[in-house]
Amino acid sequence: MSISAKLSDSSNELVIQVAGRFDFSAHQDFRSAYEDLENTPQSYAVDMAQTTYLDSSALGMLLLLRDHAGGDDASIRLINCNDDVRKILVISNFGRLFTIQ
Amino acid sequence: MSAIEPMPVKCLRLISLLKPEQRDHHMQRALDLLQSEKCDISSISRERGVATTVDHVSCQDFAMLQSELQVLPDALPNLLLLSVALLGENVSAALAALREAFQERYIPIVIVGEESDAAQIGSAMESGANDFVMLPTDPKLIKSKLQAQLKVGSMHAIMSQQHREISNNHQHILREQQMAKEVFNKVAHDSAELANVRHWLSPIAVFNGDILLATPTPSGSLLVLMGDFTGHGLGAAIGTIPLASTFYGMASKGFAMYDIITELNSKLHALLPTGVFCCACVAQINFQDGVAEVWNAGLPDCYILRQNSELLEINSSALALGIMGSDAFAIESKRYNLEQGDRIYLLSDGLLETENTAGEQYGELRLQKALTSTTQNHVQAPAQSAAGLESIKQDVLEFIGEHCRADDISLVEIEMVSAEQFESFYDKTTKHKVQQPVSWSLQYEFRAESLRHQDPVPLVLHSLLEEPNLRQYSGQLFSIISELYNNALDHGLLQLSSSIKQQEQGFARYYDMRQRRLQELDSGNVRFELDYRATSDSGALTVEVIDSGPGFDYKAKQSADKGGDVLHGRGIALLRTICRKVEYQGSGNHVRVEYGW
Repeated sequence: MSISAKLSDSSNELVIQVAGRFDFSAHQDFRSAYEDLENTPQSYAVDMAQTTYLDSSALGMLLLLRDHAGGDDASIRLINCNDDVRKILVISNFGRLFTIQ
Repeated sequence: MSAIEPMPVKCLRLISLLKPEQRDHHMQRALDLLQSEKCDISSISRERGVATTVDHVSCQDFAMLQSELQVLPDALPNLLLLSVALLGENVSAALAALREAFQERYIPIVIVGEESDAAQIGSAMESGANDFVMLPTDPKLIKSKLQAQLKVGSMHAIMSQQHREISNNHQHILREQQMAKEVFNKVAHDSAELANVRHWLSPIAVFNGDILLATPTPSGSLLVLMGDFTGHGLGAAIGTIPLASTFYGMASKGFAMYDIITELNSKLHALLPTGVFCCACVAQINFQDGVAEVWNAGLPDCYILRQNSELLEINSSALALGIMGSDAFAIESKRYNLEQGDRIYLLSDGLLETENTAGEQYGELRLQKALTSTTQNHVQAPAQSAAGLESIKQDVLEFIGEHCRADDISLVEIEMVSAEQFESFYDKTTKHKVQQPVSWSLQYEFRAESLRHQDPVPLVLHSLLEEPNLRQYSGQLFSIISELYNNALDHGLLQLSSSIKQQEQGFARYYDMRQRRLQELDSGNVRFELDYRATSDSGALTVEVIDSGPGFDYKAKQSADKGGDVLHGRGIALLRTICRKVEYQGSGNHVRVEYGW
C-alpha cells in the first residue's frame, strides 16, 4: 500500500493516489494526505487506478475525507476504479455521496 | 509505547569460572578490551542499552558460581564465561543446572577450553552453550566473540519484554471482549431460537462486527436483521449494543419495519464516529399473507430461493446504517410473495471473501451454485429440512480446506412456513396468572397535529402490553388496534373510499391519496377508550374508537349485506373472527369491540 497526493495546478483539485490494498493500514497515510495542507483545495479526487482491494475501513476513510471536505457540500471524485473496487462502491451505494468515475 | 523500550543497561554483569592461568594469560586482556570500549553492545536498541561499567565476578569453582547466581536472583549476569575443565565430569548436567537458575531469562554461555578439551567443548555446545573460545587465541577475537554474544542477549531481553507487553495487551483485549460479549448477550438474550431461522455464525461474530437479530413481532410476523459493522474488535462490537436494544425494544412494541430502520439509522448516526457504520439487511416475513419485505443496505446480494430452484437476488439499494442523518435517509424495501418452503438467505461479505489455500475467494458464483443445488437435494430428501444451510456450509468448508479457518462467516437461512407453524415455534405459553382482580380504563385522544406525523398504534399497544396478562394476546391486540385506527383515520377523518382500491392501480392511488390528505389534515381527532377487567379465570378488554368524522350509515350497510362483510372490507371481517362483539354506534363514527377469554 502506498499513498501519494498532488495538487493539480489548473483546477485546485487535490488528487490522492492509493496503490495496492486500501484497508486499515492506510489510515494514517490517507489522513495526512489531505490534512495539514497550506491551502484548502476546492475539490478532491481519489485515484484508484492502482488500488487492488477496498474494505469497509477504506469506505470509512472516504467518509472521513468527505466530512473534512465539507460534508454534503464536499466535491469528491473517485476515479479510475477497477471492476472489483467499483462493485464495492456500488453495493455500498457510495454513488450518493461521491462522484464515481 | 514507552513500556516496550528496554531499560537502559547501566551496568554489565559478567561472571566467569576460569582456571587461573586461563584468566591471567588469555582472558584478562580480552575483558580489559571489552571494558575500555564501554561495552557498546546495544546499537540495535538505538544506544539506549550502552553500559557504563562492567562488573566482573570471578569464581574459583562450580559451587561458588552456583551460590553467586543464587545470591543475586534479581540481577542475573549478562554473560557467563566458563572453563569447560571446571564443569566436572558431566558437562551437560552442569549446564542444565545453570539454565534452571536462569529460569526464563536468556543468558549467553561462552565455553573456554584448550585443544585437548575438544570433545568436552563439543558436548557443551550440544548441551546449549552459545559459543566457545579455544585458547590460545588473539584477545581481540575473544573480545569480539563476547561482544557478539552480549548483543544477542540484549536483543533477546528486548524481545522478551516486547513479548510480555504484547501478551499482556492481548489478555487485556480478551477480557474486554469477554465483557462486551456479556453485555451484548444480556441485550440480545431474548433473541428467539426459532426453528425456521437457521444460522452459521462464528462464535466471535460480535468482534468481527457481525450481528444477527431475530424476533417475532406482536402481529405474528418475523423480523430479522443481519448487520456488519466496519472494522474489527471492540470498535466494531460497540455499535452492536445500541443496535440490538433498539431493534428488540421497537420490534416488541409493534413498530413497523420502516420506523425501526429509521430509528436504527439515526441512533447509529448519532452514536458512532464518522467512518464507522453498519451494513445491514432487514427482512420482515409475514406468514399470514406469505409476503417477505427485504431491505438491503450495503451487504452483498441476499437471495430468495424458491423450491423450483429459482434464485432471486436482492441487491443493496441504500447507504449503510449510520452514515447519513435521517433527512437524507430513504428506505426502499422490496416485497416478495413466498410459498411455504421458500427460503431467504442473508449474508455478510466474509462468506464471499473467504479464501482457500490457493488464495481464491469463495465468491458469488460458487454460492449461487451451492444454493440452487440445495433445492435439488431438498426435493430428493425432503425429510432433511436443515439440508439447505448445512449443505452450503459443507460446500464452503470443502472449498477452503482443513487448514483455513472459517471465522469470519455469517449466513442465515429463513424458511417460509405457515402462520400456525411459526406461532408454535416460540413460547406464547408464558401465561401470567392474575392473582387479584384487575380493573382499569384508559383514554387517549390524538389530534390532527399529532396524527400528521405520528402513528399512534405503537403507543396504544405499548400501554396495553404493560399489563402482563395481555402480553400473550399481543398479536390479536395489534390487529384490533391497527384495524380500528386505520378505519377511523382513512374513512372517518380522511374520507377515503375503499372502492378506490378496486380500480386499476387502485392500491397505489389509495395510498397516494391517503398520504396527501394526511399531510393536509388540520383538524379532527381520533379517541381510544380502553377498558380492562380480569379475574383469575376470565378477562375482557373493550376497545372503543371514536373519530370526529361524519360517520356512515352502518344500519343500511348491515341490512344490505345481510350480515355479510363485503362492504366492511377485510379488516372488520377479521375483527369479527377475533372479538366477541363488534358494533357501530352513533352516526357510525364510533365503533366498540369486546375481546375476552
